[in-house]
Amino acid sequence: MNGYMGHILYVDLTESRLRTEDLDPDIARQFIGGWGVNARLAWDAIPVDADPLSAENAVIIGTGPFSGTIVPGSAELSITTKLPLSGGIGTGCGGGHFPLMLKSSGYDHVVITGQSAHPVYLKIDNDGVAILPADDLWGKDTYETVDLLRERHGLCSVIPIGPAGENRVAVSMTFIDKGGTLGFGGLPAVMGAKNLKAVVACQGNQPLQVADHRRLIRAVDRMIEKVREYRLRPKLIEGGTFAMTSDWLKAMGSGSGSWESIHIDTRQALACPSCPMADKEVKRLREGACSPCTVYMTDFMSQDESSADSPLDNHNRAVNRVAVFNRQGICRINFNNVLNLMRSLFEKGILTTEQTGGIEIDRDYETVLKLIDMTAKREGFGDIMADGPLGAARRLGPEAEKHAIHIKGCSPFIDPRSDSMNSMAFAQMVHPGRSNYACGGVGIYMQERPVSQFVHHAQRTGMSDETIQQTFTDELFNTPHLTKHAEDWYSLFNSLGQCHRLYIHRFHSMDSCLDFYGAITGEEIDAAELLERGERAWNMQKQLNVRLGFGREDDAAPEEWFKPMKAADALVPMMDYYKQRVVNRADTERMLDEYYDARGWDRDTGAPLPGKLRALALENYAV
Amino acid sequence: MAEKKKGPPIWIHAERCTGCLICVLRCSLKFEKAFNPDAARIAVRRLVGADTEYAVSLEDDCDNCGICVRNCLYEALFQEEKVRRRA
Repeated sequence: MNGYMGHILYVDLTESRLRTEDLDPDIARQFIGGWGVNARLAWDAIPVDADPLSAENAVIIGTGPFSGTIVPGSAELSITTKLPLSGGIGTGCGGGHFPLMLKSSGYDHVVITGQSAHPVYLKIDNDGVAILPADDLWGKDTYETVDLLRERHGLCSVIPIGPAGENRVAVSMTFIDKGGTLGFGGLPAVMGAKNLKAVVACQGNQPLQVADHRRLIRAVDRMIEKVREYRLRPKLIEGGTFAMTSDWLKAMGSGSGSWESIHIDTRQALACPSCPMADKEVKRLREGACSPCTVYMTDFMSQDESSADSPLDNHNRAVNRVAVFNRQGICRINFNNVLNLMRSLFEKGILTTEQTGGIEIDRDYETVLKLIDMTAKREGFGDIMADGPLGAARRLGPEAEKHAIHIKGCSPFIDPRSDSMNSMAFAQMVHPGRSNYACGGVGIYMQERPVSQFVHHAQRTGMSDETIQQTFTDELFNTPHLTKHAEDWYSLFNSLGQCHRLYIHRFHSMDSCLDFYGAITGEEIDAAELLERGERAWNMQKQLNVRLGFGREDDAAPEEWFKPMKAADALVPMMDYYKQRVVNRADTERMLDEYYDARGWDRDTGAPLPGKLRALALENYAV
Repeated sequence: MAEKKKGPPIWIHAERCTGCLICVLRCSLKFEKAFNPDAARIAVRRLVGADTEYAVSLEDDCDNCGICVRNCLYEALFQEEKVRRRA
């Protein structure tokens, strides 16, 4: 099977049993790999009634046919599990060396079930797979764990969990090799419940064959030529994603001693395998507050730490706070949402110091660090915060629950009152399992752009002429229809093992995907067929959650979105994409109708209709 | 036995290496007709507790063909005799 290693590794932690099965070529063809094949494997591997934190739940790791090759940005890993935050089955995707290492050891996918009696880690390489004791690693943070396992196993890639995962914290998060974020929704808690401290993929010696390597080189070289000419690339390499895409660094001052110069002086760009747009970085603070301190991140995230409503205006302290989050393995998006909720409840008098153990809930540096630590340990009030926006609010009572901002128990990444009800905001509502947040489009979908630009983008990404006519008019576009297309495209990318970030995505198109896919797998298909495979994978993810009982009501917009948000000098309501009118509940419900219609799903239940399942050859997965 | 060299020496600026492994992948594809980092004649190793993230080294059987240099996108590899190796 060109492009694949052809094997799935099954690991039962309860029985310490390992077995290898062949990857079924029909499943690979239908679902491509990564995101799609993971979903298909989850159908068999995760029982409907499995508690997310039980032995019965499975952790499914997947690579795609592009993984391990030179296709620019082909280092995306997918991990599927039943998530404690949502109770749904979701697939998180992150970039790093793991896909390349896993394939070099001879596997495309790994399915981990069971629960070890004591802490262990899984080591995978082609000389042997082993479940090894991790008693000495238990209690270590994510960075310490990665470093110790690198010293032990040499060339390898590590997915660790930190103290938060060990303590089954639902607002937990982890990383591939400290860098690529993974596990929104609480994957580390699932691993912690299995007593699984880490998964290590060592560099093996298994060759990955492709059908036509000369054609692949030609296609890659054509793309790299455009990459080299991209005018913003030098800014990305020097200063990171935010330096490239906004004036944030300049806003923080320029010249010697400014945030901009400190940032650039303390960073080194890092890339995932095959990536020409190194967007990750390591920052090493050598002087000043919190030094010495080393942290791995994409600097896009540090903007979050220095936003206007944050008192954290010190570069080092902002960076250090990221380091503390990451080392403990806490998800900043979910934690910050819970913190904002608690702050709001505190201000309203719904939450008191009696309940918080004497802590005045605030967003100042010391309080935040204290709360991160308590949450990671599930200590005192941290035990409540650890359960996420919905879980924590429920523990505080019905009045608190009214104020929680969540979708399926998870925090939204985008508040449409800040931007607009664009496809990326809407996609958060309809996402099955709520495991990630970037599937409703790429960066340009969030900013006000002319319709013509969207049409061009849709054509480039394989939208049919008929769908273009249904989606776009001269002046407006249909957000639900655009969301459906963006999701299928995203599903396709993650099934291929391909990164979807805007600055790598901008070089890819349906034509390039078809060229790479043909060169790697040897299978020549057309755009409609390839996009349909992405749609099939999306529907498979949906069916996994329909089977769990998720319905239309779970896709609803949070009530708080309909209340105007306090901005600097005004109250800002939720608006449509072009900010022409206020969006109310009737509007979002109508958008759901249109989305379900576009998808061929039932308006009442939100579930795929029998005809859609038949059209996608998914009738065997009817609920 | 060392390979007969086809080109001038290759100089390494490891502090510029981002770990993208494009050099490793291109090298293995050229010599093995498959992607196999273990078979590449250039190695990129991650360091623990160092000031630089990666160490880059050439294997004995590297013939200085320069495919790694031509494909490095971060100016971490050079094949100009005038460029001196940094620390």
